[in-house]
Amino acid sequence: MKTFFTQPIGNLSRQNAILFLAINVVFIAVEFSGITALDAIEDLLNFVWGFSLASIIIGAYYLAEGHVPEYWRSAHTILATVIILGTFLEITDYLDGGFLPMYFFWAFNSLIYSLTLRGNGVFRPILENLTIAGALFLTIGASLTLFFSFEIPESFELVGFAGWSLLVIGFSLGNYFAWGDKSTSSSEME
Amino acid sequence: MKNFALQPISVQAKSQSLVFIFCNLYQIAEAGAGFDGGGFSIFVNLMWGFSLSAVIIGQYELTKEQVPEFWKTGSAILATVVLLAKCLEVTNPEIDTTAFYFFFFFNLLFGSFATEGIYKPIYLYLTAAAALCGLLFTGADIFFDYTFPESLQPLFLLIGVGFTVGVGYGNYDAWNKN
Repeated sequence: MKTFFTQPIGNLSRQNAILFLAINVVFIAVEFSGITALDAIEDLLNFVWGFSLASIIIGAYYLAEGHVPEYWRSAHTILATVIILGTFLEITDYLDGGFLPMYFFWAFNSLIYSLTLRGNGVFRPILENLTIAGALFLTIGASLTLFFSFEIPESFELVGFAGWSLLVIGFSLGNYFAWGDKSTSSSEME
Repeated sequence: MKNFALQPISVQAKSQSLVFIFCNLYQIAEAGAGFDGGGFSIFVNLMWGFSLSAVIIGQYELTKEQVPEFWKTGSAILATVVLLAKCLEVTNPEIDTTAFYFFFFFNLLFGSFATEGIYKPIYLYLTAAAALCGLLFTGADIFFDYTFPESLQPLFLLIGVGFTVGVGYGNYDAWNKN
């Protein structure tokens, strides 16, 4: 158990990236199939979702280290905290619906992060572009509701789902492969 | 004031450990005797969160030779979560902060696996036992809507004492050794 929690950030991030992707696949499957078998553990799944996302965000600073200013570490700490706290607020059911500012903040930061690192070779180009496209979709969608009280019509829900999927796939697999590439290049240099 | 804020983390963490012990003892006495300290109780409640946050930040400094560097970020997040939970409770006692404490106990339990040799075994085991019980109680509540029967209430007192001594005095003692 000690080895699990004290393993290098690269390993932890890769495991959490896969976990994050898996949880999202489960959420999407539940949403589309309408099954209720997982209702009892919905809060638990929500907690794991927040925990895995926060872990990836903490690791993302170390991936970008050297390409971004040092104060980005504090920004990543703040973003991870927002994700954890936002998830808890969703679990406690005090919010009517989801905690939209959290999703906006995550998407907006992912957009800035990916655009800043674009072309630096940290992430694989295809996954980098998927993340940018997904983050852009989500930032615009969340902004419309959050700042202009614009309710997105149901006919556009599929577009929103596509944007969400792009961000989740790009973000999780992007981090997974980036950590793999980083450890490979580090061992080659040694 | 400047000297207080700029004192070394070891001195700060030791002082805050003592504040944390006091807050716990006050709250145990308040619950046991059934009195209500009014505004002072709210102040103690807030100080509980503040002192625990300081202890958590200090914990990373105590353990940094044994844990990866990203634990520093994790500690900052955990300290924020604890402090915010207390701020929410003080603002509105109706707000359910169980999930915040589940996260805290989760980190406390698994953190104790990585801190062998830093704390005396007795404090480490007390912390781990209290964290495990806390994790079970809070987890059952938020994820499965299960509340443990009242007959188990005395166990809460044991957890409170284990927590006070394990986390509070355990940290004080560990900083003394350093």
